[in-house]
Amino acid sequence: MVEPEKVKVAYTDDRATVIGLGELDLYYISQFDKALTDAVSSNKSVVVDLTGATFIDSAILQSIIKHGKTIFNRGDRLKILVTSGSHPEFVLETVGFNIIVDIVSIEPDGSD
Amino acid sequence: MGIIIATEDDQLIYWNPAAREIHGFKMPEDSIVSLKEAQLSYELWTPDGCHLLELDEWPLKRMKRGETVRDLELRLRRLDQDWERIISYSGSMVETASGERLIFLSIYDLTEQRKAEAALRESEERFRNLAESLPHLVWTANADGTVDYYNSRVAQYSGFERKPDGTLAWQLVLHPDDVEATIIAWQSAMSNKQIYEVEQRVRMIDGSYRWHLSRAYPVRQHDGTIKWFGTATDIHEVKETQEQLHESEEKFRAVFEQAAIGMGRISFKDAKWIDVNEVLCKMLGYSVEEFRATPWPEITHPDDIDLELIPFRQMAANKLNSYSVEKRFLHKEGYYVWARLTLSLVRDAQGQPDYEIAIIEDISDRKRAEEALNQAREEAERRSAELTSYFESMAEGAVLIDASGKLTYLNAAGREILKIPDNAPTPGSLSDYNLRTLQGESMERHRAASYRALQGETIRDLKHIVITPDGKEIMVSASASPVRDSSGKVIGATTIFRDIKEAVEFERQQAKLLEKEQHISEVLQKALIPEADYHIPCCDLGIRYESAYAEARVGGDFYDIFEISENKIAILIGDVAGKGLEASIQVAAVRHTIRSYAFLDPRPGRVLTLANEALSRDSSTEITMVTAFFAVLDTSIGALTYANAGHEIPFIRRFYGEVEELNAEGLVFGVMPGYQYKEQSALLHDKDRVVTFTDGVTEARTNGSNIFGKEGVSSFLATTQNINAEEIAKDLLQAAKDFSGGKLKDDAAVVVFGLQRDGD
Repeated sequence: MVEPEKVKVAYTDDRATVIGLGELDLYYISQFDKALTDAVSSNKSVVVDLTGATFIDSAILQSIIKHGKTIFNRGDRLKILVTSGSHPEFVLETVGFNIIVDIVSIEPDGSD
Repeated sequence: MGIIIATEDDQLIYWNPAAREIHGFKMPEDSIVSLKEAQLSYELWTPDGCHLLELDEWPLKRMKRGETVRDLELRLRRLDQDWERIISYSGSMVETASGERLIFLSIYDLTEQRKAEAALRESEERFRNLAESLPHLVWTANADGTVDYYNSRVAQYSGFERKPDGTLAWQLVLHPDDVEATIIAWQSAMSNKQIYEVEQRVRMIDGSYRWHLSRAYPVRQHDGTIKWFGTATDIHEVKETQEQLHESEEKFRAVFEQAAIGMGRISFKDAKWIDVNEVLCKMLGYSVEEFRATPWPEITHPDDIDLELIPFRQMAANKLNSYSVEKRFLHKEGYYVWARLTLSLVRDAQGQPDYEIAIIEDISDRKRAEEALNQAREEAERRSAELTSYFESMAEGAVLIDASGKLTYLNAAGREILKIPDNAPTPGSLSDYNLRTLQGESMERHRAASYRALQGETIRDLKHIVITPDGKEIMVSASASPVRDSSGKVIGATTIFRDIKEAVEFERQQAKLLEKEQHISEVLQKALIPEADYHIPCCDLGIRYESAYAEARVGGDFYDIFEISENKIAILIGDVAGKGLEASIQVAAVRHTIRSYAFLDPRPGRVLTLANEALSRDSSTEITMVTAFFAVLDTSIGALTYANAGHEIPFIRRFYGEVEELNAEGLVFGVMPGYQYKEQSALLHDKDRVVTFTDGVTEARTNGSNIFGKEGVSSFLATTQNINAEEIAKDLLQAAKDFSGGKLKDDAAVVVFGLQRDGD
């Protein structure tokens, strides 16, 4: 059975967006890290959209930390979109990563 | 007409010149005055010349006796010259007014008339003899159509009716379907006095009908009347032949026009098309007119023209009547059409080549199929060669067997592995080999990968020992796949095998290494993770650690509990991304870094700040995410100070049941050098319990997207009635496991601690 594509990259003129969907466990780390590496290499503003992700493994988190630090060191900030109350939001807040990245919580669909 | 007047005493009074000429006298030289004198010069015979009349029988004698002679026909023969005539005598004795008796005789020369009549009779006789000798029915008819003569052939027919007057009624002898046409033709011929001709079926004496050609010619008779001379000629065979020919031509035409394949006729003398059928027009795109205007060679592929040269010459030499070739015709649109051409020669009545019948079958599809087949064959041969080359270049042995288990191919590596000398024949069948398991036990032959592949199985890396016919034992790993034909039937098997003696040896060494590593891990485990049941004074401690994988006992989760000084206990719990020895080393580094700084300055915020500084500046390894919660409990007064480096935030389960989440935010280690970790504090009462844990607990999840989370921990603590640290640690871990279906997806550690007074 073919695994559904869980990591995508979308480019606009000035932005590269890495989109993670569903449960991003260790199996998807290479896809995710490559996507994020490509996005960071594009020298565009980088956004990681995890609003469609229900879970992120610590390896995914480590990839975000690594590339977030790279972007921070070049004077920019990685923007991470998460759904409010989701596991990715919880993990990112726990590790205190909002010091060097912008974590934007979005209320889930249907909520006030 | 001649006139003779004579006296009763035979004296001639008068005879006119005609009378004299008829009797052969040349007047006036022949001066005959007496009948007696005249009678001396000729004789009179009956007309048929058979009876010589006596003088008394002569006409004059008879008239002298008083008889009247009327049209007495006699033959006169001169005695003195060659003169013979047929004469008609008429006359009588007449008494004149003076009483003189005179003989008046009138004569007619009938010689020519009688000759003509004889000739006519002779002609009729000949006609009848001829008519009787002919194989046809011969008849004559009067002007009104009444048949007045027919030859004896009439006896062969049935239906002719003889009328009382002897004539023939012919209508009943005809086939009913031909009567009307015959009457019309006959009436037309009679009214126009033209030749009558009609084909009709006539009933024979045996009742069968046979085709006849009836013809009649009108002949005008000497009396001006018309007489019909007719014949009926049996043309049945000819007619049948014609009908068969016609039928044959019809059939040919039908076949020609309706054939599913192309057909045409080509003139032999100039190779031009005479006609073509519609299929051929469609096949090659030309109209009939375009075909006729295009010589044969112009629509033939140049390379194929010579194909027909030899058979054409043989046809011309009467040595060949037909031949077939496969050739290419030029389609009107410029491409060539492959066709099978069969040419059959039709000769004329003299046996000379007249024209050819061409049967042209479009075999483009077959040619394409053949071409595809050839390509496929070439491709198969190429692939076979490639495969053979590939097999020969392989380091692994490759063997092909057929459905009976017979070896059809064994590559060089295979011969080498099986230790078959170059000049030795390849063993013919799998049954020549015996098997044994790696453990040395006997192994039935049908369990071999090749045999199982013949049963349709695909086998991967089946390890066993092969015993060659000469007793050599070779340790191999074999993978085999069935070879199927297009219907899916297994027709053989391909087996790839390699000598695994070295690999097995390597695996054994690896296993030993792993065993050693396992031993090291266990040693590290003991060194890094304190025993769960060790005792700290005045402290109720509960610890649970569980690896998600039994074979990787050393995970990234770690904890440490140690006494900094009297009444001060340090509690550390953290998580390093990854597992195994590498993670263990990282754990060791973090654990001992924190432990070292804690002994120098036990303030948790300071300890984590210094540890982060040390870990961030360690460029020897790539960034590894490390989280840690570090707390110091003063057991004398219950004061808890703590700082957090991105680790799961602990809870305090108050003795009265409330659950509080510690205010413990902070960045993970290694991200930002110089980061200052904020130190927080809380006061613990007796029987309050601080619950710390790793993400293996909060990330316990079902197969869906439900996560145990910090809410799960909080809920568990709010509902548990237990205040014993050990029980809380054990039950929390069990709750997380239960939530994820009995098995955690990641390592998990739980450390629960609180004050313990004597008597608790």
